[in-house]
Amino acid sequence: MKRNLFNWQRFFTIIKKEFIQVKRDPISLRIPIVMPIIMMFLFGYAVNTEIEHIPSAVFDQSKTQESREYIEKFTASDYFIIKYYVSSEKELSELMDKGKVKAGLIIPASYSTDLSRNLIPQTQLIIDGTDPTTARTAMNSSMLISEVYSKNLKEIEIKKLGTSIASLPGVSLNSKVWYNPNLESSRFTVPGLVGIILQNITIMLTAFALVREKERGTIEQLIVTPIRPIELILGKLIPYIFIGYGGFLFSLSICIFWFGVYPEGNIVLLLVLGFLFVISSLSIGMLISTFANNQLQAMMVMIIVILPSILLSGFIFPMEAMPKAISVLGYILPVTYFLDIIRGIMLKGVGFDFLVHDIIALVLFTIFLLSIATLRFNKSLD
Amino acid sequence: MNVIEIINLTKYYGKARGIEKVSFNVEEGEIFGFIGPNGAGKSTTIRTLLSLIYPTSGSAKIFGKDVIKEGPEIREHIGYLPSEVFYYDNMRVVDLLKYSASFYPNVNKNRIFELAEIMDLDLNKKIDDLSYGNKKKVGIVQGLLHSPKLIILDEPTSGLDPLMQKKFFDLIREENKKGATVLFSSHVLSEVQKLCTRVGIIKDGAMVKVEDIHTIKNSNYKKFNIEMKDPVSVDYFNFDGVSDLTVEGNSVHFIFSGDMNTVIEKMVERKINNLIVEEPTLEEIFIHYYEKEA
Repeated sequence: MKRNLFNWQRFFTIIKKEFIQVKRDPISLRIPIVMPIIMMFLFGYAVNTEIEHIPSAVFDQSKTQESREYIEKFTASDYFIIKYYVSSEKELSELMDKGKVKAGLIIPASYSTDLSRNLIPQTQLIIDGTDPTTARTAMNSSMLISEVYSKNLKEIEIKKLGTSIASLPGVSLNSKVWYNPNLESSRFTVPGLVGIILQNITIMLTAFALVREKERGTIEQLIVTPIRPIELILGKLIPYIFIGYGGFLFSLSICIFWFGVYPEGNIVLLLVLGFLFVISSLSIGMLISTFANNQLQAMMVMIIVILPSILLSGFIFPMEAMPKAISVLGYILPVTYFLDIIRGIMLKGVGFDFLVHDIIALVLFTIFLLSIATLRFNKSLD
Repeated sequence: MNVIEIINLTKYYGKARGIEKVSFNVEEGEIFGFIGPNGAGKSTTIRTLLSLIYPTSGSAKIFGKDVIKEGPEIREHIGYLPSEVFYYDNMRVVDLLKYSASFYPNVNKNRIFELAEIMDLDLNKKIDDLSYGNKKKVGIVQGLLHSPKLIILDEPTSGLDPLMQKKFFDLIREENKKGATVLFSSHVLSEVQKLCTRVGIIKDGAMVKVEDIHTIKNSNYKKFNIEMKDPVSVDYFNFDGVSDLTVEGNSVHFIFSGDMNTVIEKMVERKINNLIVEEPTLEEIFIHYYEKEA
């Protein structure tokens, strides 16, 4: 007679033991609490792509009221903060070399006289290009400041001629920002972080739990009992589904109640899809455990997975800006789809209809990863 | 009836040889000794039987069932004691044993207490606080608590003191009397001689011979290390039953199998400073044994 394929008593024994192990392992217990707190606050505040207060120096050779007015336009913008007034290009160059300033404004001696003669004075902004993001902000904002200032000067001159700039032909662009009207970086970063934290907690705890048993040799004692692979796998993983999901709920609470990023869309849909993403991350953790024989190896394999998921998923850097070949790699990471989902629900308030492609991709990835992980884990047990 | 049937079992770890075409049977109710030097393939064979590793080719059956296809059903009736035991941290002995028992159907929990008493094991201690020998005792109780029909022991006595070894052997004999079949792997011939009825000898991954224990027992090998008072010629100790003879000045070394009185008579004729008689290593016996077989 064929015996039962699934024995509930053995299954519950494994779950119970795994919960006891987690309870006794302070690190496993603290990770779902500590990791969201550290990562949310660190990334929530530190990852800010809006660059302001670029430390700058000014080499004003004109030293006139007009040149001071021009400098004021720069300081008024908040993009630049004038830290030094220098008296030579050499001095400016030294400050730049020492990293004390990132930009240097050079105003020629002829600045006022050029203006009074209706000539265009040639000012110069030297930018430290080591950090392209800061350099780009400095370049764009300085050009904008100069253009607006020139336009104002021209307007005054045109008025003197008895006409106005509004009567000249031109296009006026009115832009409106949706979903994140104040363009706050944190509104973009924090919901993404919830996804990244959920993924990291689940992958780490699952991989470590499975590898630890392998490393200590205790898994062999389980294999020599009548336990079936399915009872063992499910029994060992269920506690980590709880922990991973707990971490997800905790990070989501920080996102909502601390950072004030309230879900615009259906929270129930987000909670359901969050569960699906826990399963997909769990499968990755399980898959990692089949490649590693000890916790150190698991850690190294984990870095190979976690680092691209931060860099290529669109969590910080937009995928549109990546070369095609690299951005394709982002699409083989389940977190990419979950970030679309969580940002869609949290910020845009869109529902199932709009996220259907991401949801299908996440479901397919979860099924694929879970099957491969179970097969490989099963094989490694054998 | 055969409890274990192994046919041409082969296991390669990548390109490295584990075992090659190993075949033997273990009959119901016997204590079968599985003997060979370290690295011969004993553990590989046992681990394949327990589905801890997959064979490269060949097959193995336990209770007439394929060990791979019907592993979980088979393992309900197997008790296994590995050469090295590993446990979870922070667990009390009794909790670990109850945890182990919960994987088997219809376990009489009293058996845990009976076995612990026989093996003089404190069930309330934490596993971390146990010595290596005591951890081994936990392994013994763990392997026997479900009254298995087949007991597989892989180098079980390492770490046990002589008194505990005796208690352990008595326990195995008792289980055997109750009907359990035993596969006992060891590299210590004298251990196998004490317990087993038949012996399989494995060397370099291949089965050399399956012998009745009496045949092995008659080959009573001893290793002699003698320190003579005066130098002696090689020919003096070159008589029947002596092998691997080396004479360097006053030191004489050889392996002897046969009537012990012959050696004693030879020694009485000369003065000796020191005499050590010890169990030869399996490797040493095997060299002699195979030479004789050839």
